[in-house]
Amino acid sequence: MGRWPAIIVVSCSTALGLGAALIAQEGTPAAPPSTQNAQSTRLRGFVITLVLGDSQDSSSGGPPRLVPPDLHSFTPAETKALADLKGFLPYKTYQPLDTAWVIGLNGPHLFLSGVDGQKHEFSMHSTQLNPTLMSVDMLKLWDVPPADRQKMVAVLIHTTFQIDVGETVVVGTSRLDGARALILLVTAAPIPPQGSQGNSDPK
Amino acid sequence: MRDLRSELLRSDPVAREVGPSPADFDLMRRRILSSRPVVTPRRVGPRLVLALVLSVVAVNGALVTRSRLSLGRSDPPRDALVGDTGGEVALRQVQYRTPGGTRVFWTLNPNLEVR
Repeated sequence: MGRWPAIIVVSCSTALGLGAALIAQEGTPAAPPSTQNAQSTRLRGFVITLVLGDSQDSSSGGPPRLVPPDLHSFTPAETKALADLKGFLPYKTYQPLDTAWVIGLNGPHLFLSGVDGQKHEFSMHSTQLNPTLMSVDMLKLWDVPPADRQKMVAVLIHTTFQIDVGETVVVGTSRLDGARALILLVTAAPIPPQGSQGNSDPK
Repeated sequence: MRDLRSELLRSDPVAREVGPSPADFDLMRRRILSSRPVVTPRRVGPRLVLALVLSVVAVNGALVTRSRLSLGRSDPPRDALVGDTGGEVALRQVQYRTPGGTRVFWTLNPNLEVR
């Protein structure tokens, strides 16, 4: 009889301790990698570039053109991603419309300038699955709500995916027979290695 | 003259009996005590322990789940939800990977107007 209270107390304490440990683990960021190599692959943020894809180009033939072609408007990772689209998408030119940084896993809502000054609002929420893999749980691009609240807000892109640090993912939308498309280039940018003077400007 | 009361007292045998001895009292007390039904205390057995532990685990599980759902997240703006819930257009999304390794997530929106 005398041992049961002790057993109860120990059992409850153990269960409470496990629960508290789990909650604490959820609320604590993952421990930073110990090696220098792993540290260089940690996420710094996301580079978001809004691109207009257009299938109507006067200079037909040849590979897709980046417009403007000589101003380094795209990062090397974005340029490679757009080059990979050749043969899959019918667009002949890719014109950058706006670029923004999302520092860390989540950021505030961003406003991106679209075609002819059209304003779009962007938001994303991510979680870290491991030091080099992120889960984008929500990525959404929508038109800025009109002043007339009776009108529906048009959601242009709403998707989820996983992305490795350093990877560039193409997220786009178009009509099935549309000549133009809105494309988001999402790059999970790593923290530059210590001592390097990497270009922090995504543009 | 003898009345009925005095006659009954005179002939009552109890008045002539000798009371029980202390040994008899002791024997009687022991018999009474030994014949008392044994009331065993209810055992706080493994069932109660199991029920308590399960309850604590269930509460912990609920707290952990709640914390997972709430940590680091914020609700999207109501304006963004309007388009989701009220959209009558069924958006179709396709995913593929190019030979170069670039992954593409494409949404086909029949109502999209890119001016």
